[in-house]
Amino acid sequence: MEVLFTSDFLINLFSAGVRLAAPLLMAALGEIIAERSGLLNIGIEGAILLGALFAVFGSDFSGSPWVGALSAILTGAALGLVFAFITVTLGGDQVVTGTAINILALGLSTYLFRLAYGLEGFSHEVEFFRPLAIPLLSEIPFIGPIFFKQSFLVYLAFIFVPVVAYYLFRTMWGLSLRAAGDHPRAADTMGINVARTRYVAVTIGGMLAGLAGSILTLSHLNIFVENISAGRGFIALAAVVFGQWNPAGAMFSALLFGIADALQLRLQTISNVLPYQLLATIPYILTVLALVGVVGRAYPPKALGKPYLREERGS
Amino acid sequence: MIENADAAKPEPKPALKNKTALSSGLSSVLLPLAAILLAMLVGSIPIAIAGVNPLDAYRELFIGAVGSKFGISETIVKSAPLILAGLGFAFAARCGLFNIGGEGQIYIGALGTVLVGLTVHGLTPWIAMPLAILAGGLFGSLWAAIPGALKARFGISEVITTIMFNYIGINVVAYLIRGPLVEPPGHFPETAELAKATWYPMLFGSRVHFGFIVALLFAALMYVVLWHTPLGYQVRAVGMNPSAAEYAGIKVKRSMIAAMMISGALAGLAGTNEMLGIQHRLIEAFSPGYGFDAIAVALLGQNHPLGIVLSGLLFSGLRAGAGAMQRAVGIPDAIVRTLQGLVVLFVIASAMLPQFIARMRSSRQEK
Repeated sequence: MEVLFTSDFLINLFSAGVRLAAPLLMAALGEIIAERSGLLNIGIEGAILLGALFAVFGSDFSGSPWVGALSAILTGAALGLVFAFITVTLGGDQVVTGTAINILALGLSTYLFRLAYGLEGFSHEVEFFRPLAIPLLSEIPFIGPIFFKQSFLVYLAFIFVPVVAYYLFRTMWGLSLRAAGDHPRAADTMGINVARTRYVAVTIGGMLAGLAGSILTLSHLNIFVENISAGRGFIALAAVVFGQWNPAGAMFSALLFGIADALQLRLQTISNVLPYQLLATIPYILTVLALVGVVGRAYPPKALGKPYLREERGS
Repeated sequence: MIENADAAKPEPKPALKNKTALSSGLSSVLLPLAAILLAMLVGSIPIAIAGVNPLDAYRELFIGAVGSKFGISETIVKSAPLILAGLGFAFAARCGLFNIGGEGQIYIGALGTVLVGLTVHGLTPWIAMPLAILAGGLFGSLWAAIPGALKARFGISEVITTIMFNYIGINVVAYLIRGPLVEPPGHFPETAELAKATWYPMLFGSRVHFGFIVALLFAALMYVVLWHTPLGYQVRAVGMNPSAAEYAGIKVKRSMIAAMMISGALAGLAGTNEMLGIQHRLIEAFSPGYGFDAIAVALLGQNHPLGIVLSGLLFSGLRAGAGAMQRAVGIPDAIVRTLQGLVVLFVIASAMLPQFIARMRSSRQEK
């Protein structure tokens, strides 16, 4: 067990933790934007999955991971728009709509994947984002190799933390978005277009979820496998709650889940304390425990999940 | 104070839950039919992308499902787990809970059944089989009781926890069939064969087995429980309006936990069905996602037992036909789950449409 405490092991562990946290963080940031506007979109699981596939398609057809990431963003945006149309325009139930999108994405990604690469279950390796050492910063002992030898999309997820926080809490745009999520009727009276705000928020949320999917295929594995998202969308949903709907909070919870995941993956190879199937349950158990731990301290946006239909005014 | 992600949830869902003018009578048949047709229409796009004429693909699908004795018996065989797990989803939904953990409950239910089936050698089927069924339901219900209790006690979103429990349950079963429960000498990740006394008898000299009858019996039982017992009344009252139910003296938390446990038991029985009717031993990946298909089955069936039996047969027909379609025209059978997702989207959309049109009209009149 002493292998656990060498500095090489710890650097390796935390750097993998940061890498594994990135897709959770990216999806959680998108979901924070959506939920702050009042929409609970559990369809981000599907957006991650389908985004992961279209990232591979884009990179495969063009030879450039940038095109892959862009396809993933567009895929996520499309699913976000479908969600917005059914929940905002038609006023449909958000949880049911999100579930439908997840089922659709699971079916469609498997279908298109088998169509493109055969029934075998592996895509060939595509061009991906290679690790990018940042000059000077990556030289810092311990910290450097953990945080500053990552790939572009991983940096982007962490750069988005202050960006999203700034837009949410320091701009008029963020103020109206939060108003739509807390008091849609009051926001409406103030002249804020609640429907449009929610459309924009959940579309951006979908884009970030799609991008999160592209991290899985263009920065982690470099191939697509069926159901590659494996519940990460739901872990990201839990990270939003655990992070109390704040970008910085989401970052810490994503890092917690990421490091736990990295740890169980390493324990699978170096120890025979527990069989790997039981180790693999750790991120999921931790997610449940995190939700228990935050009970009584988590206050969601007040109108989260409730449809707002203008004609209800005054009725 | 509502505590969690699902402050989110159940505002009344008229289209899915209770009888509105809309879901009564004719429209409760017409809406699902329209949703299916629209889903097939949109689903023809990915089929056309594959370079196959959608009409050819759908014809092969139809013939595969009901065009032969084999097809029909496959459709009936595959319908039993879908109906049972669909009933499970619907029972929780009637209480305003969104149990998407059916897949994990199926695996844990199968585990319960197998633990009995491996130990009852020498017993008569009249005792062995009911015991195995009971264990499947019990294990499924206990597995669902945990997210149910977390929801009732702490307000933690069952939407997230039930999904987490899927991954936990499936992994636990994967471990057990390699470890403590593996059949000696342990070459394959599977248990030994269950005592024959627990096996469902075969019917009509085909692959159809007793499990289909079990599924129909539980559909009838669920109807009686929901609409003709105090428990069913309480569950539905909580589902329609928890605070009104509380005010009326109904124990809301207890109803929620009970609804989740019954929901999990029904999903667990879908696992039992696969063990006693098909596999006769616990293996990995024996469910091709019945727990997820069940959500679509229940929503298309409008969370009503009769609707669920019909939509269970419809989706199992799609599943049975998909294999034939894949062989005939090379369309991957994953198209079925794509169609299911589309069906649910159209069910929601079409249920909301009349209100949407009414709103449009009234806002036009204001102008």
